Amino acid sequence: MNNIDLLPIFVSLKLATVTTAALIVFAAPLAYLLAHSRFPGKSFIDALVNLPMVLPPTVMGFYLVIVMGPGGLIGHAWQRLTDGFLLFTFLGITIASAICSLPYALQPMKAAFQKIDKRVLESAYVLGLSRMQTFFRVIIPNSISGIAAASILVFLHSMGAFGAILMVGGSISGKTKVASIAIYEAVESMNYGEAGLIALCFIPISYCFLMLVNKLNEEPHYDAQCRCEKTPEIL
Amino acid sequence: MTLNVVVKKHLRYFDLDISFSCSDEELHVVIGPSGSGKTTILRMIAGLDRPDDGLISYRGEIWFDSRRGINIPPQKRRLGYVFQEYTLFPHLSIYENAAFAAADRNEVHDLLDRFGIGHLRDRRPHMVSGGERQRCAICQALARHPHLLLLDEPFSALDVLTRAKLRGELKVLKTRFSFPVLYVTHDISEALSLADRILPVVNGKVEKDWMKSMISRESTAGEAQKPAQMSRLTRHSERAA
Repeated sequence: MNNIDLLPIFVSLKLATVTTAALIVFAAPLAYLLAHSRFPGKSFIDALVNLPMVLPPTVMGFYLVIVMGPGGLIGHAWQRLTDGFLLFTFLGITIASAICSLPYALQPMKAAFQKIDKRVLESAYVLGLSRMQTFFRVIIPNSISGIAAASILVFLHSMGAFGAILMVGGSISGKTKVASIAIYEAVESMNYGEAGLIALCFIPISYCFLMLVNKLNEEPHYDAQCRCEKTPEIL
Repeated sequence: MTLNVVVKKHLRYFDLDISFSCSDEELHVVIGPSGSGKTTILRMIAGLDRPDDGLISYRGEIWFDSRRGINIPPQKRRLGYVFQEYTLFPHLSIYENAAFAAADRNEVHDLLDRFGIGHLRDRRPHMVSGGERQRCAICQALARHPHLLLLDEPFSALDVLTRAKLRGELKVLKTRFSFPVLYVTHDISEALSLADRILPVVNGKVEKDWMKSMISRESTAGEAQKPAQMSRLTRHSERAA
């Protein structure tokens, strides 16, 4: 009990933070494209990026090992570029975690972007804003709650990631051994005390995030756009 | 003429085929029943919809030419466009909305004061009335120093009194505009009260007879119509023709 290794908790927190930051930045333009653009094959891309939500983590992990391995497309390119490996590294598990969490980032952001009235965007175009400027000056500020919801979901999902991370990263202490792997290993070695303590760490973290979600829902937001459709009041 | 429009576009139920011109300091009302293609005409001038065929030019500058494949994006047409419903940016205050694309931000305070909403400058759009929002939308459009002002039923979502008040204000204001104004409405009395010229559009075509039939219907429906208004009706109709 005295020598409990809390390093996996920090690895998980680091993984969740990096994944959230990276994914919000990369997924926001994709969510915008899916919400407000029309292009051939859009429904196929929409389904493809949401696949990680419905595929078993081990299936995702298997394909990620293939693609990120030295013989895989990404792994080979990375090796040629840096002379290093992606598998069994923190970067490797970050990529795996980001891919597995992609739908959790896309869905709330896409819904928030779609809620913005198209005429508000057209108004921005007529006022001289390019699509990029409209994205930063109109869409993002009016989708704060959607972006916050996406961040929380991605963070919590990455905190609890297990299957795909174990397959891509193995269990290297301080590098790829995340909290859920540590719990699994502690239970496997009948060390219930350590497993219980690490598991306990999740509760305040998850609780705080739930409080945050409730607070976000309480506060009025201006992303309700300007469409003035009201439900008639029944007298 | 400052603005020349010759456009064709296939719409769901009919083909829009319109040509007209506008001069500076002139308020041109596009009138017709709902779904006759009025808004589409404005959207094509703004560059938000693409005509199938035709030419749109402003002071000799080509904005759209189907034959030469020219289609200047809305961002570069420098327009003021006030939509039917409130399209202010919800996250910005009244002042920030009006100053959003202002040519000179120092002018915006004066503009808000002139429109009687200076005291609301720090409020968000959802905290002010519909009439105040539309006033702000007009300020936003004018602050840009537009080449052309497009108003698409800007007061139709407002109550009768506010609508009449804003219409009166626009009538006074238009004398100060040095650019053409295009105003879309389906309200005959609004058209007659504001227009220098009227373009009656039915099913995508100019229909002078529609205007005449509406005028005769108005005159028979309201026998109390004043003779002065009747003569204005006829005059507008003839000018439109």
